[in-house]
Amino acid sequence: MRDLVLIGIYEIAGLAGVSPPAVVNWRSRNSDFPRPVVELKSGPIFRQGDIQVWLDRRKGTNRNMGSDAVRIGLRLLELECGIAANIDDTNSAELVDYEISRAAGQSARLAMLIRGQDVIEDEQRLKKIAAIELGIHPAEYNVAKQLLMEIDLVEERITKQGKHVLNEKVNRLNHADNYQRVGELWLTRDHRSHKEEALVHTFDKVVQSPIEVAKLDVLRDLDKSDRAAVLELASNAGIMDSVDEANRIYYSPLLWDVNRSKLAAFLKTATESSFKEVLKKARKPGTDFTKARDPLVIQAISAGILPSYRVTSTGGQRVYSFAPYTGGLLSSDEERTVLDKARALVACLRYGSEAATITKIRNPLRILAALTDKSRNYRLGSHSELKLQYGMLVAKQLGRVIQTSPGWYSFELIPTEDNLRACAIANELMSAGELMGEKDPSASVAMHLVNGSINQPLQEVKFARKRRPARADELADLVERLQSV
Amino acid sequence: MNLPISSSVSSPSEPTLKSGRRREGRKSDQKSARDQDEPLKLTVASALATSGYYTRINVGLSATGARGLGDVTDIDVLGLRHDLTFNRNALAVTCKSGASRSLSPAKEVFYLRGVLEYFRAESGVAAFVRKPVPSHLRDLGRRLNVLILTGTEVDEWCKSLTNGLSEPGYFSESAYENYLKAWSRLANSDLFAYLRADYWFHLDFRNLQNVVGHFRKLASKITVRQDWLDIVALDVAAQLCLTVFDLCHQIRMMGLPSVVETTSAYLFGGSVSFKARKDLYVRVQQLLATTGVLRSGGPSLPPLEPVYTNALSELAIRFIERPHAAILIPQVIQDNIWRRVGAPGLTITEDKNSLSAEKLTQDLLDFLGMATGAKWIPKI
Repeated sequence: MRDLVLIGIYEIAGLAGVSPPAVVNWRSRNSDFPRPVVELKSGPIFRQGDIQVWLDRRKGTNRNMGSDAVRIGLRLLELECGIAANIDDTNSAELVDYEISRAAGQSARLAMLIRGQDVIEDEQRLKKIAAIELGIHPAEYNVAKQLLMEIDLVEERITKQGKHVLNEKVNRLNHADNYQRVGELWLTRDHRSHKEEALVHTFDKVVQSPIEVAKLDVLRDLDKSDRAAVLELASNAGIMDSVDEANRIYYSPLLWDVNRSKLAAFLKTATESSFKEVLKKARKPGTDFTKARDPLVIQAISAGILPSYRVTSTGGQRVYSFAPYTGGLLSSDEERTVLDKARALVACLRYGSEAATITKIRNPLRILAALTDKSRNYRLGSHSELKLQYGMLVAKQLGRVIQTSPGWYSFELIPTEDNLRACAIANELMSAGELMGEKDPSASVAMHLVNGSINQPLQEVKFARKRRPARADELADLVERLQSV
Repeated sequence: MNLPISSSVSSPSEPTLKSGRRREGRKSDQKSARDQDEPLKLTVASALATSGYYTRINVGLSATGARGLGDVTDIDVLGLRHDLTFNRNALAVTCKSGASRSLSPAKEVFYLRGVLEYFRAESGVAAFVRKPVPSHLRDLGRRLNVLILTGTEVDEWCKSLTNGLSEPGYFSESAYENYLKAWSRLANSDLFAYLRADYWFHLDFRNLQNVVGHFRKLASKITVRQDWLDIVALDVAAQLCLTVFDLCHQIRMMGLPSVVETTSAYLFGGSVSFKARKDLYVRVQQLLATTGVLRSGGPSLPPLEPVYTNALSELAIRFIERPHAAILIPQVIQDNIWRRVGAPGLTITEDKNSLSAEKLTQDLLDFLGMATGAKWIPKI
């Protein structure tokens, strides 16, 4: 009976719970999408039975992917961030082999950029911001937008007055859901190259723990030149690099906050599996290792492999450690400084909730909310324990301790951009365990999308100029400048 | 509230709906059973809706939703709107077109005061078109914060409300007839009974789960999308929206960082009752495990919170982030309903706020579709 029912694009969208443009995209991108019974001027007509079978199959595939898809989505975003930050020639022929991964990564970055915008009235403006801040070329932007429409994170709409707007549907609370959609999209693409598949899967393994990549099947299946090309691209993008000179063990410099030579020295004494155990123990950001007895944990802390923070207050001294991987993209020293501040803040809050003797913090996230609340002047209520407990944050220039009455102190955040970002990162570390929403530092430029609020970045857009050979006087001027240096 | 159903001259709204289901041969009966106050109610409701209130007429107040009960009472016209903190402002209007001796303005004013207290509304309006009201009763109204209007004052008050705005055609007789026709197909459903009476009687956290639950039952029976269903879905969404606003108000008070916890607690009537329910849930789980009913690797108890809890938190956060746009959602839905039943609707001004309001309305409708499994939710 179901085979006799005929439906159009709108009805399919209703069945699948997505927008009609998403269905149009499925149709154009999936060769196995059912063929229409007839193409009318108003659109194609399909058999509901065929569509239901296809949707069930798609749903089944998606369900089986589970949490893998979230990780893949994250890796795609990180890969694209690495390429954009570290590779000058993004039009290189070598990158053609990674087209699908790059497009998916760009769509993830775009999603993070527009998150919280609700309605984007001026798409041209968005295109410019994507170009200047994320390095997404307008043609790439269109592909990324189409992908976002396909995974129902963006919807195109024509208003009653005929205005073309974009409705943003990116999840604000559950970032994993956004990455899962991107990951599923990548996993369901039929035409992925072997090289990009090997790169993404190897990268995913390396992010979790340093690993001997030669042991990985996905890389072993490639021929020698392809394997070398994959590893070189990963190294150039900063997402993977060898720890040792023998190029056996790889780690992720973009995502691991660790000194390479120290890590190499440490891995000489620790086996891969024992190090994995250590990382497992430090999974919770700000794990209390004050009473750690495991010699490998102690060695990892003293060698700086597990970044650790000592907090001293009325409850004595405690040591809070973090795994080197936090999900943050560490492409610059500034990013490392912000992450350091965020970790210090987490350590202080952990102390407050676990070791404080007078008043224990019941909900550390509330403290963070109060600290970033402008209406409260970024200040916490006074307490006798605050001076010692938050002393480390004063040294890191995150805030200041103010005496409110004899023996009572209040802590006030210095509301710089970096410090506010450190608070946001601390929030994510405590609530999600790793960075997901605050991952891409460029995403903060989303505020430029609010019409009329900040115009500065767009005023800096330079005119596109035609390439021409340099004149002799310009070259002479350049050499003169170099000489003066 | 054991008060008169309406007044001696007006019958409750239900016959109007029932008449929609009668056979065509009995149209004359239909007319005689019609609510005599209805034209006045429609005029007042139209003015309120045009001036930005989410407006309903014949709002029943009964805990059971069952018809024919003696303790059923109703509000002739109810206008609601919310401020930026999602606080509810209500305006209740009693409409009486008759002049019979049994119609007592004093009784009506006291009755209206009670209703206003129930809705935590500041002021109300009692409109008597033909019944003269002596000055001492007007004084009484003033003391009870009830504005008493008689004769042409009603028209003038309506005009002052709309203040020269173009007529969107809300609550016009033909449009209202079409609106009732859409609902008449579900006149015997639990959803209809709940939304008409119980919803307003409780007007608290219970409505969220109950509205979703009743709508899910309906959605499971519908397979093909039809135009009248759009009106039903939009109407349900509007009432759901009012409850989500209540949730947003709670979240704002508790703080944004605890949005997920507040949402779960709200769904069960507050943190104390949620904790009690959770403790009970854990005890049941332990009991089932100790008796061997639950085995490791086998099926487990489904989570206590409804599956849509996270999506609801997400929706609430969107509303709270854009309060200027969010509080317009009931109006957007109202406008869409009336357009679908033949009214011209409001003149559109597409600014950032109204576009965001439309987008958030779509988010609300998508949430309703997701939570209930309804595949035929309309697009704004």
